[in-house]
Amino acid sequence: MDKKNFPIFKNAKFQGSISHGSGSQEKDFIYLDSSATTQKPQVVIDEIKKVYENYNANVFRGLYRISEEATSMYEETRKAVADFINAETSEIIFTKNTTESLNTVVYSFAKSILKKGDNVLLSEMEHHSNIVPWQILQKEIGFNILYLEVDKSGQFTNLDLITQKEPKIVSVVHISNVLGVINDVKKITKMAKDVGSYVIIDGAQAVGHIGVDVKTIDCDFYAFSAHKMMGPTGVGVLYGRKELLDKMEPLYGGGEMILSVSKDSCTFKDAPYKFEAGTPNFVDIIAFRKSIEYINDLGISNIHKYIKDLSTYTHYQLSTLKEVEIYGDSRDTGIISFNISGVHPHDVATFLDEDNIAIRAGHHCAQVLMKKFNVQALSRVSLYIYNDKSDINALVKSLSKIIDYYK
Amino acid sequence: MDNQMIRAYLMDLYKNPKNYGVIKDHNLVLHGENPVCGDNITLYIKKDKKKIIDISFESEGCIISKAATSILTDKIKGKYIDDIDIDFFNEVREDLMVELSLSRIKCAELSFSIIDKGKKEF
Ligand SMILES: Cc1ncc(COP(=O)(O)O)c(C=O)c1O
Repeated sequence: MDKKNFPIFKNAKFQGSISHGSGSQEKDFIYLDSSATTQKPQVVIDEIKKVYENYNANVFRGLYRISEEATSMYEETRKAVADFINAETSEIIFTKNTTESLNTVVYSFAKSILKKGDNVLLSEMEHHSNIVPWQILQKEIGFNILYLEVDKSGQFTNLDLITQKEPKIVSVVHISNVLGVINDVKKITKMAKDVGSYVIIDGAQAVGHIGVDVKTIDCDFYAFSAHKMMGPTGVGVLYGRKELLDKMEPLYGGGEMILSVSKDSCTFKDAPYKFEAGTPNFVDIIAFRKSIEYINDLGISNIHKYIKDLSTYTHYQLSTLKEVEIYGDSRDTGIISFNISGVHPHDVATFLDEDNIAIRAGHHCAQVLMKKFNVQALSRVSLYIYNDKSDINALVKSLSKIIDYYK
Repeated sequence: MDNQMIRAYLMDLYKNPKNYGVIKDHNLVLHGENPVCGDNITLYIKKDKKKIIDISFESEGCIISKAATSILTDKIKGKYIDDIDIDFFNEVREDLMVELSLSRIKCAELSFSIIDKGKKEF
């Protein structure tokens, strides 16, 4: 939509000299790895600098002007996040990323309600951050981990497991970072609530890409990362339903999160503060608001439509290369995983890099899914608002060179 | 050699690797995987005490990992296992003739680290 607002595209051009003997030539930076992290618009970068230069004082502590300003800007981001996903500010906890948000739910919530023999339901398309914490806790408690299965097109095939196994907790991804499918988390939540389960949604790839309304979904927890929606790194969000947050014990103890401490005991602040121990990453959290504003200015439904159209174009262009096999049918998001027969994904990524095209190759922190599809690794293109058709044309041109090369 | 020639050289090693397959009279099999990318290599070794008489391999992986294993298996024949050290690996890397980025060194390293870990089997 607007590359020129993203300074990386000006700065990461490459003096190509090694590729195909074509001599030295400036190559634009073509970034197709936004699922890993998105690029940042100038306004977000400027805000970080502005905070350090004008408002750098620890939040909640200083009884002086700039500390109070920093604190109120910090809280303004909380308000912006709450409005963005239709939650209350008291339901928004700042963490460092999706991974920490999910771990917080696992240790502060799930640990207190799970018993030996209980069922926890995940899915085969989960990112490791929604599998590994459960496996660690499983060792301690001894509950069962069950998986929703995924077919080749990217759809769940055994949702009835929810009704059959009545899991205590259902924790699933909103948008798969490999297949790009948008899961019907509203329906899954409804099915889960009908059997009394708690529901956790990993929204790392969803927020900033599609409209997310936690009240409509009706889930209990929702986790995401600022850096995947044009915000700074080091900022994550955990939404939690107020009644549950109030009952939960904090994961970390320390400064900022207590009301009073004596030698023998302490009392905690209310949620969300009891979950935010120590000095938070307040500079980046303040700047995060600029990325939400950027998204709001464009309009989330415009963003989704733009990416969906570009995804359809990408699918079509890739399908003109008969050696390319795409995994999953979804064209709803800009995440497209594929393999080129006979070419290792790492080699695809390395060859593309020579044309200054950045894609991801590997297991995408989704080894359960890789095993299901019987592949070691996949190449993945992931799109965001700064991509356009010319990027896809360059990708396809470069891929066809690779295919020729392997002939 | 210019870059295009190096690439052609690596591509040739990839498509026609040396010592590929299973030698009949092997008496040691070593296997290893790179958990990051799933590349995996099996080495078939015919040894006599500490000496490597013959070696072959089978693998699934990228150009770099296959080319490096091809070079390594060629260089290692006739050597004593105790002489296989980091200098030996550095020679393999030199023979690859490309600057490896941080993320690709692991690809080149896999066959060497399998041998290195397997030393106790000799
Ligand atoms: C679906 C999904 N969940 C969780 C994560 C983890 O996010 P983070 O690394 O920001 O904690 C990612 C990041 O790749 C993801 O794609």
